[in-house]
Amino acid sequence: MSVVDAPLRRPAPLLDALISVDHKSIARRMLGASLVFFLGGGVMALLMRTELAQPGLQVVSTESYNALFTMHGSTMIYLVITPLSLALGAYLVPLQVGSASIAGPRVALTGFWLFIFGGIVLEAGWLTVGGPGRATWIGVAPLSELQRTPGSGQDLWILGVLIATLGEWLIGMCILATALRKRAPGMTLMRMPPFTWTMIGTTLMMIFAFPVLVVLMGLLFYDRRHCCLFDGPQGPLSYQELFWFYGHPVVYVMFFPFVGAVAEVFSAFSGRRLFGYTFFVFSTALLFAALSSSVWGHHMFTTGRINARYFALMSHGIILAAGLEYFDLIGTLWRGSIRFTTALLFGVVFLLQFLVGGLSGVWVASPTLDFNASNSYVVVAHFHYTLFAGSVFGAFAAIFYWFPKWTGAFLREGLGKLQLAIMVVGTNMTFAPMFALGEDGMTRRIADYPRASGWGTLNLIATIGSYLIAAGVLVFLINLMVSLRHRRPAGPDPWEGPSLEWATSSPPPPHNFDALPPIRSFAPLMDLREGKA
Amino acid sequence: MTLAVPNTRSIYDSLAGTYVWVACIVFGIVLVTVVAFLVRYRAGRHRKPGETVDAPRVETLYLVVLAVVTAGLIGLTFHSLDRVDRLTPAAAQDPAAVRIDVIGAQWQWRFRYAGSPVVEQTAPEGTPPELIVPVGRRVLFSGRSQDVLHDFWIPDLKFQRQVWPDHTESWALTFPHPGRYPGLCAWFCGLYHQNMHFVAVAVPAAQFDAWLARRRQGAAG
Amino acid sequence: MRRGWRVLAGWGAGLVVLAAVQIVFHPKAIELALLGGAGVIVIAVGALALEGERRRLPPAPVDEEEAQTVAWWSVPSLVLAFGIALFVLGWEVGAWLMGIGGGFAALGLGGLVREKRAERA
Repeated sequence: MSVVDAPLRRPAPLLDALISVDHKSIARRMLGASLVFFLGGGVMALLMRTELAQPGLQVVSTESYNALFTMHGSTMIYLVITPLSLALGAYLVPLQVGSASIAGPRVALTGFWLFIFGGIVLEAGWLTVGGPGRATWIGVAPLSELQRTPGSGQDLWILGVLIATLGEWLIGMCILATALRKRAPGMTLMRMPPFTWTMIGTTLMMIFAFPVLVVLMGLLFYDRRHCCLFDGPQGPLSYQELFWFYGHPVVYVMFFPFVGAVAEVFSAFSGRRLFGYTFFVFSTALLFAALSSSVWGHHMFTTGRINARYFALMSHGIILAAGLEYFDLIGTLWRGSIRFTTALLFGVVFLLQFLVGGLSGVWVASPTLDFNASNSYVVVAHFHYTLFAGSVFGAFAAIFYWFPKWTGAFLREGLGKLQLAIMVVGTNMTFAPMFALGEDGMTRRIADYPRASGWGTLNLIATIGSYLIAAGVLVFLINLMVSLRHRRPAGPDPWEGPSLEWATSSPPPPHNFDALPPIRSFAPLMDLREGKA
Repeated sequence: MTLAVPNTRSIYDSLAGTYVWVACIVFGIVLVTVVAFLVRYRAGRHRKPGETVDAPRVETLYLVVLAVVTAGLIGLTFHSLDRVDRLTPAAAQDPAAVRIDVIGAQWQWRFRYAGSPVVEQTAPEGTPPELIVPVGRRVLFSGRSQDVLHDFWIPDLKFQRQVWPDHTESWALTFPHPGRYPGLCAWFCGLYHQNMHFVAVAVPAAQFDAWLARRRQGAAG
Repeated sequence: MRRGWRVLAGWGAGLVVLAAVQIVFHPKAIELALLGGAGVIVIAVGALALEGERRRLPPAPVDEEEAQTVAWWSVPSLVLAFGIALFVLGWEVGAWLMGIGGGFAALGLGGLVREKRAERA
């Protein structure tokens, strides 16, 4: 049914959307799906923030709130940022290594559909009588066991996470195989672009981390149907050990690709190759990923029953990897000729905001400090600074940078900078006060807090900030629509980028390249432009 | 008046200060550098970008600096952890320590003063229990849960511990000043998690002894 | 092409080393097993990759002919995903759905095998 001459293939949009194995098509669909889930998760966040703006239950019931925070976190982690990271990799890694296709395109397509079906099953919980999953995005036993959280909504949560994670794992493995096995002649390991290396770090961790979650969800479902897997003195502890063995790597799955994207953005708009490439590869792609796999116990410091000093040591070790990465990113700006495009500005803001998240991460890497901060709004602030103020801003840098490649049209710069301005203000208004709230004793996952606590003012500020964030997202949606409607065409290399994806048309043809330039370094297009090829 | 018995609050405060300073200094350095570079190296002055692609010796030196700072933080953290870890065995060996059993359940707390029938627990209408404790004396808690994960957190003492069924966890706290120390459950435990509060009320030691004796008599009689 | 396996083997060895550091402190069996096991698995994947590279000469190239014989559509992939999803959902809904899902999954797998064979031909 399907052997076709590449340049003569007739476009068939509906069929393509369903069953195209072209990695670019799969990636675009994943990006689109992530965006839809992002909007849903964002609405959940707005509802939560509206409730918390003032003491007293005004907007939702406690039960609904518990479902909201569970589904907000679950949607954002399992259905938005993880697939968004993988979508970037699925689109760009084959191009960046000079391959005509992704490794295992049918596996990738299967994985994409599993992600979609998993997302549908997860969100279908909203339609059940008892409501969706409401035992946090972690689903920790004993709370997630049948006796404590009955109902099919929680069951669907477990199965949805299982299916989606399985799909994401498959896609990750295809990306890894592409980078390791489908490189063009001349594309040695140490000539792969920084973004591809960060995808390697990402997918290396996924080899073992994602299957652990799939198995754990299966065990949890079995426990709900039958019995007793998480009972006894070790039960809840074992659940947490297994969960966080996935749960920590996944937050780096949601981070590394955006660091790689910002490295590319800095390189392009500074007109320089990434500074310290070798250090970057070994520290960010490899050391950082290895450390990320070794720190999971720091989520369990307050159990008092883990190898606390080891996990504190490994967690602090991340300072080395992150420090080197920052050195190289900032070094790329040094002596550059910096163009202040929207992509670059998002990248700079990412760098600074993620740093707040990273430094607060060093804080909670110390068990003594975590004994207070754990499960407080300090932690909520920390991970929103890394995942939202960090990764999502990095994602926008990536989108503004690569959108012309994906669609052949530019996003509007003016609207982009407006979006950035609104979002910077909104983001910091929302999450900075949370450090103070947490330090003052506000715990997380509460729909309401006592009037006497005095937390109303900071919560109100945070809520206003969240509405600003929503306004920023709205500006982005407008930008998308305008840019696709009234296209400003972009050529193959509108930014003078460093890597191979810019050596083909925008968007690339189905087989990616008609011809490849010589590959002598990790920035072949810069070599070509400078006459060094 | 300095407190003879080390407590979680003072251990936390001495460490927290260092971490905050390091964080602020690092953020400041990065912010200033980035802004300076953006201003100094912006395009439009028709300049050619620099050619240096790396500086291995500088970067290695930088790595060494990072490692020294990291080692310092780890050393401080390990030291503070040692101090915290010593609190519980010290309390267990202290004959003057007050021993309290803690039971968390959805969504209430029960405190039993060991070796006596004296119990403080969440009232049926939900009023948080008051946990009377002496100032300056070690209090050894033994905690467990009846149903799901809970977490005993007293923010003013900068300390919390998870409790779960079929397992007893011990920890020692000392209340440095008289007053009210709000406490709460810090692990999501279901529908009324946000209402699972208690208050530790620290009173001078003599007053505590008197109170406990009175309550014992009242419970016995 | 032939060096890709080194990334896997080297990184996996790194994980084993990091796991071994646990022993300096108070190691827990489950924590040693998780990280050490992960390292071993990644090394094993590297060994598989090495074996795969040795057997396949030349390594997967980029050329016109390969581009043209790659199929653009794959219905079995969608069918397989649908089957797996229904099968898993059947744990909640009932064995009958697991059966239907299993059937679709088998169809999808069979179709994939056929597509792969047709591609090689």
